[in-house]
Amino acid sequence: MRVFGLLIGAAIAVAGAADAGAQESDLARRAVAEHIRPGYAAFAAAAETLIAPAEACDADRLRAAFHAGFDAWLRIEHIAFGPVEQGDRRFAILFWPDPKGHTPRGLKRLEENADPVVDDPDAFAKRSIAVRGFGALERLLFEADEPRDFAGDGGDYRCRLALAIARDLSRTASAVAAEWNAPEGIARALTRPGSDPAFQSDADVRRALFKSLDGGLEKISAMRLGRPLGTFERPRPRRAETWRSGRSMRNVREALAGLERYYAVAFARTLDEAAAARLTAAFARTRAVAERTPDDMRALSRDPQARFRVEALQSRVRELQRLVRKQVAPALGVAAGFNALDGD
Amino acid sequence: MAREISLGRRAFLRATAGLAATGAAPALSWADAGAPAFLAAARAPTGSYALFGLGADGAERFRIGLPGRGHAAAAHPTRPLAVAFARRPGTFALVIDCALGLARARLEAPAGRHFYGHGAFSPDGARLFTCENDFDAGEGRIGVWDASAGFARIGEFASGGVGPHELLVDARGGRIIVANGGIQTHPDSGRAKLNLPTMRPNLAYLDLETGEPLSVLDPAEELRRNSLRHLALSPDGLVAIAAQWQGDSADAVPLLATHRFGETALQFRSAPEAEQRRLNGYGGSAAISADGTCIALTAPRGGRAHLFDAGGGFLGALAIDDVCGAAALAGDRILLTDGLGGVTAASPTARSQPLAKHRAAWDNHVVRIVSSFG
Repeated sequence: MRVFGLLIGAAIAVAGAADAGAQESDLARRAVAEHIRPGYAAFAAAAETLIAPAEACDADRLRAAFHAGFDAWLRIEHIAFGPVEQGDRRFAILFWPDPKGHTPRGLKRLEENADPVVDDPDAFAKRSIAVRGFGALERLLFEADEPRDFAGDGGDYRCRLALAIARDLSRTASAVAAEWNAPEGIARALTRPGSDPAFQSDADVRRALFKSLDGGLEKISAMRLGRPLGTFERPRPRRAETWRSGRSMRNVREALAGLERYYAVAFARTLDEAAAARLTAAFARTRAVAERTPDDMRALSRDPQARFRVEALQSRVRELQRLVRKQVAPALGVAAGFNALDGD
Repeated sequence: MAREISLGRRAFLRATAGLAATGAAPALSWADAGAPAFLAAARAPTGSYALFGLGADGAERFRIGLPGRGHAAAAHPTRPLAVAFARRPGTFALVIDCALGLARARLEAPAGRHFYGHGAFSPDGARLFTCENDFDAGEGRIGVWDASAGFARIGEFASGGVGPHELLVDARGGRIIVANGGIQTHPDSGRAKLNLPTMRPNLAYLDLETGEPLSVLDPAEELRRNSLRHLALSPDGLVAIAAQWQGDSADAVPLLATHRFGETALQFRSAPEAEQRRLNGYGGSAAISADGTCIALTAPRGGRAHLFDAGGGFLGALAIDDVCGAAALAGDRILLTDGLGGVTAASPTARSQPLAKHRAAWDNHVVRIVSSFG
């Protein structure tokens, strides 16, 4: 190695996160066994309950099952790696946001042509992600101001379409849950890094687990709250997620509940007691604010008070995310994205 | 053996004070800097910054400490000179001798100008062109510097648009190709975007000798907010442009455009809807393989690299966290660098192959050294 006497300063030091292998394997094991597997199992079970009311053409029961199924999805939606990221599964579960209106146009085309694809699950699974999943189902069940049923003109086809979506959702959910339960699959890749190219080291695993926590909070503040908030001059309540079914804030609460549980079972034990307590308290405070925030984002356009409450919740979530980045990321040796966070 | 050098502040001052003396030294080549094929800036785990030379195998050939975060934006075609720009909106750039590990020159943007962080040498290496903002006029400029005489500023011309972000020199066609991002900024307001409602990005071809505009291509109205930022050029003249969407990221618009000089319109290329959504409306870099058969678009915010064929057909996606840098390797392969220190070779046939993992966070771009290929 040549050394240049003219130059001062040290070469780049080789430093990295402290290696704490045993602890990290525990982290992955806890996350998989106590959060991810039960979360996807609950989602698969809830998605399956969509099928019977759809078969019976019972719109009221299907609406109830829609809410339960979507709740279950929101509690595990933040897991941003593994089977749910394969192919278009995530988007086939929920296609949102849809600023170009792909979903209503796609559904209209199916209905106008009475497309028989709805009776063939394999063919339906290959159709556009915009006509599958909870977003499409919500359109069928809640589109009008008054709750719809499947009676009247086109009711029979709409019912078959709802059944196709229900079966498709159930199929996707079951496949994801089954892959998480397979002993040699993704669960092994996480708990024994090196066997899967996506998880070559403990560091890769810690990063993926952390990003799901951080990304889940980011999605709540930027998308679920930020999109409908728009600007003060121009709130955009119809940019809220599932505003037709009036459950946009319920989505925030369910997603937060899922993240709180994920933090509690997987991450709390990686922190010292004081830091863990601070985060537990921050989650609880955020939950309390979310519980006081009114359900219906449509009020954003007419009620300044509603706006302030949504903004207050957004600030809480951001604060929580900052705390997660400050406390959890260093404990796991995870650095924020160098390029992703700083554009050029 | 890789060499480690640091351009500390005092060393830099001494080096620039000694410019005249070093200018008389015998001409060195890239071989004297360890024959790197690529340049890339990076942040070390300690938080310090360095410029790296990398081989085609992804291994380190040299590293030189930098005084702050910078872009490795231009490589001299024959001499071992790299131009590193200060962070946007920076007003200076360093010309670094990668063989001796010292600064040969410091380029100061003229009053009322700042750099965008990209530039390129003329094919003979005699001139350096830099992308600049004339911020009070709100107009893009291309600065011209004499690389054979201490990097004196010798001229400038209009970039053909607002916010010229990156330029490339097409030696065969005798043209400068500029991605005018269309976004007006002013240092008084940092990186704040001042004209999003009216922005008009374009791809401009300028005469290499005179700077005269030869052809200017705008995106269609519905893609008016697609800021054209980063460029790649194949040996046979295909241009690839990576764009950053300034509208709703849920629009999932195409972020890659291709063009050949003489064609009447930019061709926008997209992955299927679900895959396109994963990019979050942000294209980081574009690259075209040396044989022209593969185009790569990186998307650091989506942790994705998309591969296309020369006709713009989507070939597939690679999931790589914080991937951003992209440059041609030999044949149909493309080198990708990421913020976690990874260097990956991607190709339509072999998909992705990890080459190296460094303890450094690669900055946005990796620059190919022209003379490293035949």
